[in-house]
Amino acid sequence: MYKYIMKRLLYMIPVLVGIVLIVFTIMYLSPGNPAKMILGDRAPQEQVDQLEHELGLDLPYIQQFWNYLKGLLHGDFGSSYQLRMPVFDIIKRCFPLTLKLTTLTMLFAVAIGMPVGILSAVKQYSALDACSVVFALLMASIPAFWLGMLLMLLFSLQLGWFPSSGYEGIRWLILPAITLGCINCATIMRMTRSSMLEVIRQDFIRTARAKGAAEKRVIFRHALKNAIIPVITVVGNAFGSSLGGAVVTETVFGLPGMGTQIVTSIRQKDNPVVLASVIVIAVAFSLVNLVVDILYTYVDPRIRT
Amino acid sequence: MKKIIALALALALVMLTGCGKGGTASGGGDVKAVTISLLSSPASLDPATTVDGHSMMVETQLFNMLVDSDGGNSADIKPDIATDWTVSDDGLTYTFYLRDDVYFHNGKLLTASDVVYTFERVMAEPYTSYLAVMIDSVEAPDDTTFVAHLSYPFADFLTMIGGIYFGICCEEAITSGEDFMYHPVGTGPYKLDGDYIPGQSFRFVYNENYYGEAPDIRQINFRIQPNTNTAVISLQNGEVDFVPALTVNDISTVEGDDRLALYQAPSYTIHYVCFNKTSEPFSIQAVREAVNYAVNKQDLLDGALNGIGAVANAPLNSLQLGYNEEIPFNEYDLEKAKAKLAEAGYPNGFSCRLMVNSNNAVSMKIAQIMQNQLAQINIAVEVEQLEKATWSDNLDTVNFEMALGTLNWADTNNMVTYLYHSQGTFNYDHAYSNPEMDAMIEEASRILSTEERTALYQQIVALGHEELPIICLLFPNEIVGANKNIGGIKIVDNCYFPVWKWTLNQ
Repeated sequence: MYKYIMKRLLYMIPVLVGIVLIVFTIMYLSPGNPAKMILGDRAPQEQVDQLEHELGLDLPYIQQFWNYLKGLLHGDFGSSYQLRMPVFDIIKRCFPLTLKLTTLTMLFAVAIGMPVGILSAVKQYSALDACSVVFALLMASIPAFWLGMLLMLLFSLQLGWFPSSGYEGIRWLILPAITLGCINCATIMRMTRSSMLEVIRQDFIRTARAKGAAEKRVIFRHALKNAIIPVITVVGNAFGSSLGGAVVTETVFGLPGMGTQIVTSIRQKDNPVVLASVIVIAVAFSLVNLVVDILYTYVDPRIRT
Repeated sequence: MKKIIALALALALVMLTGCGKGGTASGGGDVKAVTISLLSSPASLDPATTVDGHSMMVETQLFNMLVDSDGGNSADIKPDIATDWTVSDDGLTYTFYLRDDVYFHNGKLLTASDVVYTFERVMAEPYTSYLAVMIDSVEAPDDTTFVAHLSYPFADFLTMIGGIYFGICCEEAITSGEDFMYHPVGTGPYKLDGDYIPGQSFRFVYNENYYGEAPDIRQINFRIQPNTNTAVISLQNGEVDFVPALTVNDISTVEGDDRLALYQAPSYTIHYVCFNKTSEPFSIQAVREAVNYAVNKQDLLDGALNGIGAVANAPLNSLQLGYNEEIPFNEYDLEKAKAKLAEAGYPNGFSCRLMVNSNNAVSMKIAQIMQNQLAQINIAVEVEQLEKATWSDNLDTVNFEMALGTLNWADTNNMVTYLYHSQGTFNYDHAYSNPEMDAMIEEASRILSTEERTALYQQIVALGHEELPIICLLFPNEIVGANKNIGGIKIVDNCYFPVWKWTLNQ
């Protein structure tokens, strides 16, 4: 197992180098002048040119890329153009918040999505099943910003239960977590349902029932254990993409997390921050995938061989 | 199963501990406090490295300038750190006599050497140096006297140094090595409390060392809310007390809530059309005139801003020096437009691209309406919506035919220099080059008499209207929403809100 994990971690290196190359090139080629973004619209061209030179932005592409890689190998992500502080400090500040939000989101999504998915598979075509399908469809189609606004109007403006925006503690994360959670919950619910339906019809379930096993035992020990693999994949993917993809939700709720930071940095052409954020998200995503793969082997011993 | 139930219970517990009535921002205990919503985080708290409006607005609370010109927006100059000043007859030497009882946030006494240091920084920093080009040198003959030598007379000098860029900073605090951007030390009525971390909420408290009258409001909380809809909801539920930069769509919500007050004032932001004058058709003045006749500015105002704001006849609004009422505001006349096109050799019209910054909602609407208006004289406009960075890049490299732009300057000199001077930063193609115009602009900046300057600026904008390098369209309003309990709010500029002049009824 240890060897497997090490191998997987080593595989991450070429992936990361590739990602750095691609993102660096995209940022380099994309229009917009970082120096102009720093000095503002009203700055005269001479000042812009001078700053461009100071930042080394007038160097050839290859040299700029090489300088960046060199820094990266020394663990130096560079400095933010806009905030003029080490990028590492910015990530260190944003990432924990996004991680907290993602964890809370996934807890919410799994706690609702899995039980409802199981129930609607067991009681297929019941009223609950119909409701869950409608809910899932609705949640899969509603845009996050709109759902966020609606929740804010209800829970923040009308009922006054939760603050509408900003971040000062766990209470500030509940509305955004529900927003993201509802959307992820829909996918988990549907995946659990269809996977369970497939398993429930198989012979070994019939055998278990014929042997006289209690229905609860049949569902949880026999069916769920076999149906859960695709669900784990979905949860892992959702976790990974929430880490970097909660852009809209973070902006609507004014959360100073990775999503908000990336959007701001792309707009301002703050390339070092964009690059570092993408690297961090890529690493996090790879790690989540690794954890998912390891989980498979625990749930289904056949995969280990 | 038990584990799942336990997990669900734990989650519920976490959520329940989070419940309860949202804590209101204003009035924590006995301290009078207001919470201000900002669309984005200030990039810097250091006046000399500032370019964005949010930074300027926030810094206003922390720093004093030599003189008070409403943050660089007014020609009515009042004393601040300098109690008195004299100007030499040739207009080249300004001598300021400073108060001797001004202390910085860190308790250090302000002396003229801090002022010298501040001015020299402004002259050296790439963010601000272009604003201080007329300053030749500065000196401090003694602790309470500061002298500025100019290389040429500059009429707006006192107004300019009352702007936040010239906020007096503590030399010792900057040279001590702590990052001044995030650890500002000024002499203003408020000081930073705790850390400033970009992107996160932060707080200012009353500075006990402040030399002036103690403000009614003793604490300012700032909250970053990138989404205006969210900001309005927070204003309604009392989480924030003041939201600058509302849009026309928010007006009815704020007006409909009897706990809130709405403030409006004309802004200094001009929306205008600029042309690529290096090639046909827009190098021909008659074509630009045709566009001017074909555009109904009132329709633009109604369509893009719900009629709230003002139609522009020049880049100067009614509050600015050189405002010229004699220039027609709206010259909409399709017959004249068609005649002008024929005169230019395009009787059947032509097709062209109109480049817009897609991040600017007002510009986007203007572009759509203009597209329809110009179609009436057979100019087929293709609206090219570009992200701000690309749009700005294309302007600089003159990769456009027609473009919508905005520029914000409260002072007339900068406004006309940027747009009409042959070397103006916003005269992108530099193809508009009229020596007479350049001479008038340069002369106007040096005339000390307000009447003479006003007359000359009026001539400048009249010439601008005649030769039409740009077409000025609209001035939107500055719109601000606030808690009704706050008194004394006055809109001067979108970056200048002196909270120490406000009052709060609790």
